[in-house]
Amino acid sequence: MTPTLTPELIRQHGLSEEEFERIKSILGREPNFTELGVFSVMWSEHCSYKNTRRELRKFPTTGRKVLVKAGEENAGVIDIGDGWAVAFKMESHNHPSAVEPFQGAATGVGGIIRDIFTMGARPVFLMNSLRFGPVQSDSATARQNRKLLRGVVAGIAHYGNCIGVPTIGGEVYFDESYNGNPLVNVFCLGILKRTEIARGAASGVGNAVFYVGSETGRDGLAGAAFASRDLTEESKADRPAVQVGDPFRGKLLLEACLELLTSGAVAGIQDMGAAGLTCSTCETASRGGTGVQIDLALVPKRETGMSPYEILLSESQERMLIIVRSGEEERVKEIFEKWDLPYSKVGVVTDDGFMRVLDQGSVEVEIPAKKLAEDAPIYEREVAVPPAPEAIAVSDLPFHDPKESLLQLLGHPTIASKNWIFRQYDHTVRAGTVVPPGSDAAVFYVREADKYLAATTDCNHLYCRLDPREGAKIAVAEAARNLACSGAVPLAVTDNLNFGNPYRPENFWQLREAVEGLAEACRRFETPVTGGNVSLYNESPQGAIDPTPTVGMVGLIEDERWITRQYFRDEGDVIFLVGSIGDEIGGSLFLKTVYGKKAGRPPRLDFDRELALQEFVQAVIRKGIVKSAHDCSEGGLAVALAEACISGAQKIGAKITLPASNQRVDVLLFNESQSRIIVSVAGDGIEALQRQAAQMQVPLIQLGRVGDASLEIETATGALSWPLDQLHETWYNSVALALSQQDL
Amino acid sequence: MHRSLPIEAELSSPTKRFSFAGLEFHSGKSSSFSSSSSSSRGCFLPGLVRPAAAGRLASRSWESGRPRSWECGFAHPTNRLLPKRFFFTPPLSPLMFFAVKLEVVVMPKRSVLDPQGVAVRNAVRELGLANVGTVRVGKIIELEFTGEPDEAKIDEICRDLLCNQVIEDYRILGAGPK
Amino acid sequence: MKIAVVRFPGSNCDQDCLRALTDGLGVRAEYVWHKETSVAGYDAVILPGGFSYGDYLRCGAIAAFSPVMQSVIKAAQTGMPVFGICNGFQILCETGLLRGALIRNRSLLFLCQPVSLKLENNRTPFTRLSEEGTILSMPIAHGEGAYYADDQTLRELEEGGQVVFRYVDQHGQPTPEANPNGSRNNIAGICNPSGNVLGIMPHPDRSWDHRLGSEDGLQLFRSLVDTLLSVAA
Repeated sequence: MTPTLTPELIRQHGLSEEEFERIKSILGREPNFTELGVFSVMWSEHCSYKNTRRELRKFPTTGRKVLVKAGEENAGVIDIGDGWAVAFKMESHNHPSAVEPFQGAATGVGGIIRDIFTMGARPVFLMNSLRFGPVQSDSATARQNRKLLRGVVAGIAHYGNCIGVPTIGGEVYFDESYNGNPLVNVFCLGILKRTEIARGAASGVGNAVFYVGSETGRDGLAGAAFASRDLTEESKADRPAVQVGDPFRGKLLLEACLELLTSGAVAGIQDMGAAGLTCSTCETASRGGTGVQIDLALVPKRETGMSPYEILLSESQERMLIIVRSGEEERVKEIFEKWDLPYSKVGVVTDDGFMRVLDQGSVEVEIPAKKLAEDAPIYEREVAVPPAPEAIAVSDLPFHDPKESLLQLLGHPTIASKNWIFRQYDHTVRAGTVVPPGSDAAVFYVREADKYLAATTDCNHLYCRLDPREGAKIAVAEAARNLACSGAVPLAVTDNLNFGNPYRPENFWQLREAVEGLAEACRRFETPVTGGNVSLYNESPQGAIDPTPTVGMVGLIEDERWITRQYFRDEGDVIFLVGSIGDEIGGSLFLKTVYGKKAGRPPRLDFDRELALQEFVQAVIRKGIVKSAHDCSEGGLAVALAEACISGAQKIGAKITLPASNQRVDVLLFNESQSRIIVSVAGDGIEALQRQAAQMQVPLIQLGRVGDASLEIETATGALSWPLDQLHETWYNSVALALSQQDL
Repeated sequence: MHRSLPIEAELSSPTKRFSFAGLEFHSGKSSSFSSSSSSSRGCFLPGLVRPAAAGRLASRSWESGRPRSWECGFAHPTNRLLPKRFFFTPPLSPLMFFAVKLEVVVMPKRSVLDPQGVAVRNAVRELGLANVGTVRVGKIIELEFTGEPDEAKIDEICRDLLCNQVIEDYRILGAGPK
Repeated sequence: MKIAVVRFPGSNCDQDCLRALTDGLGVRAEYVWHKETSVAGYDAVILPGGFSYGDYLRCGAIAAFSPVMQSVIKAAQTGMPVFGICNGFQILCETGLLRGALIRNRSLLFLCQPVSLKLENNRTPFTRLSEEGTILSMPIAHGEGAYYADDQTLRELEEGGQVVFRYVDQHGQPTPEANPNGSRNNIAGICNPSGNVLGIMPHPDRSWDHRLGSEDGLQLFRSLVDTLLSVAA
């Protein structure tokens, strides 16, 4: 009944000849078909990180506040003081979302939430970083991109809203390189007491192993292996490989598991995510230094006639593996029954270090757990260094009317308001959202712990494409800057690396550069990486995506009064630019939108300057001087000013005078030089601000005043003026207009 | 209060009552053939249409309350409700030979705005059916019983659980005149 | 005094409602699991928002048949205050304690945003401390919040003063633009004829704390507590 192992079959499982030999030497024999499937999934890129592990080791993962570090468990845990801690992580679900956007995104949310509560933390908020191809034109590609976006947003909303975890922030980017390869990176953070961290180890020989959650079906068979192959026309037929999520079940599972963990009956807990039963079984055994034996006949199934291969590799959602302390089985069953969850005692913890799977009494799989979980081969991929991008000469760019350019930029879906999207996310459940979507960072009040957390996701793919190292450094810097603007101190980072096929040397070079840039920045900002995800093979016949190392960063705001938002508040407030006026337009959205070029050298990041800037902003916020703070990013100074005028509930204008400069006006307005923040202060705060800037040697440029109903910018060549209504109209409605098109 | 609450007895042990993948609903009465039926248990030949065995449950036309015209196809002789489609269950076991399947169609009332229906109608028109008038989107609930379900109970359950009579109408497919 | 916050499988806002009472007002509130058969011993019942039973079949349809609801219905019929928020409002309509039904938003999309509500009836236990005509700010977060009742029912509700909250613009006008979901007559919340049962789609349980941008919701809970205290006195 089970097929014999031919070289063809082994290849189809994504295993090379050397890997097969390695398997044989681990087992001391040839694997059977089921065991081949087990290895194929555990040693797939998605599960084993075989091509990137060497690089990932470069991340800084330790720190005073790190309670659980990257790689130890399902998510990292950071101490936030007073006995409380947060567990957070970001994960991708790119390939499933490309094939079935709704369920792909929904199950992505389900999966990351499970990763958090499996640590014993109650999930308190979600964020997401999404990337799609352009959505505004009539072309077939744009139509497809709109469908993907609608499906992904609806899927995230469906799952997140139903399970009751608010989605409070994130980002959405639009660019041709994501055509056919949308990126769906989902972030979740949970709260727990630092003494109550749950571990995913099968500890305690003789302890029972329970399965709880939805019955196993044929969902997502070999989904992990599926994510490790390029998306082609054929893979569209792999639709059955996409899992279907049930957020209601997910909610029941969440509540039941949290209740279980407070009951003290649990010795170990692990969610069944990628590679389902296989991964959870062998990983818990490996972490515990023990073995786990399960019997597939006892596994709850919703289909008939499933083979051991299918049951082991199924990625049916909403399932957990629980190791129960001896004597506590009744307690555990009570809780499962209270929440109406299917469950079954499926096995036992042994002391022989093997992952052993029985089916109707006969041994189907017998593999040393530690070797399976940890001895996946580690590869070093080749790199090919491309020529460095050439600098852009401004003189080569014909001058365009900045009045038009600002409207173009504000209307670009990457910059435009995403309200059409985040209105579909419940961002108010759990009554803790202090700063909702639409500001630099989201701020959440965790009532249980009486703590304010700020969080953001960032990555500018244009910079990363042109210079992955610098782009990655900037991603971290920008995240930290956004947190500083909100009044927070950055704590730690989770990363989601999204790249193309690692076997192409130019792609792997990008990955290595990005990792090294991220690592350096995380060290400088003292934000260790607590864990994350790698998504490779984001490539289609059209090409690879722009390298996208997404950064998710969490910070703490010690005092409620320090919470700061990005929009201007009162007439008469004075506006300052902290930092230099800048001149770098390489890799800018201005260059791309107005001139159609993804070219040039991206802005340089100077760590010292950036750190000084952030320290300064934190200091003046704490002094109570700052009324608003907004950093300059895509679109430069002009866009940041416009956003500060129109993104609040009350629109309010500004009168700005640019300092004298040799630069062309458009360069001044739209350059994306780093380390720049716009702050507004009341009249009586000016002196204190200037004193602080002098003390910390931070450049400070007075720009103008808040007031009136238009944004006016006085330049060397004349005054530019935009009525607020016009700016708001373009910015607020752009995405909604694009997506309200009837697409069939 | 408009709606009576049914099934109090069953609700006392609600665990495993509801299967949420599809609505599994277990009839409270034992599954014996109701004595009000004139059907005999003999004769398992498909294709025999038995007008006398028409179900008591009049389907509700949502316009006028008149029972819909009764259509039936081949039907299992012991299935008094004579579903519209062919619901003959292959006799893998003697028990399955008695399986009864009902389809309850639940539609929004005409007076209620159905935004889903409007969206679908617009899409249908765009795709070339210009003369489509109203489109409404409802749902079908399939109930499988071992043996005969109690008709009155089914009606009650349709009225109280499966359909919200403030905004919806229901009918059971294939039911005949009283 | 003890207030019950009913928990169904899938309820999400149970914790928010509980905290609004315990942290916001310092009163005793407890969860009551849906399998409980009695709410005797409690002075009021809150039916919180969420996705009870996953919103399967219809929102609130299955929760309406939970054992605890039998007791809640009887208690409501004897005058106990019952407050249904969002999914709770849907459940109250499904049981018939309130007339009408909540259907899918006209836009077909889930919508989470702040809304302005006009308080039109201050003769219920939940609105006694407020002035008629006050405009409150609260968030909505629902996919199925469009209130529907047939013309007759609607007339009766309006004439009977049973419309307690209405979606309005910042000037207090119930304009179509102020209506986020297509509710008939911009209705955001109604009560039963005796006023002790109130259903509201927006979330007072998410606007009871200054950190959340609005404390308008606290007044409704405060009013309830005040009523219970004055009845007990």
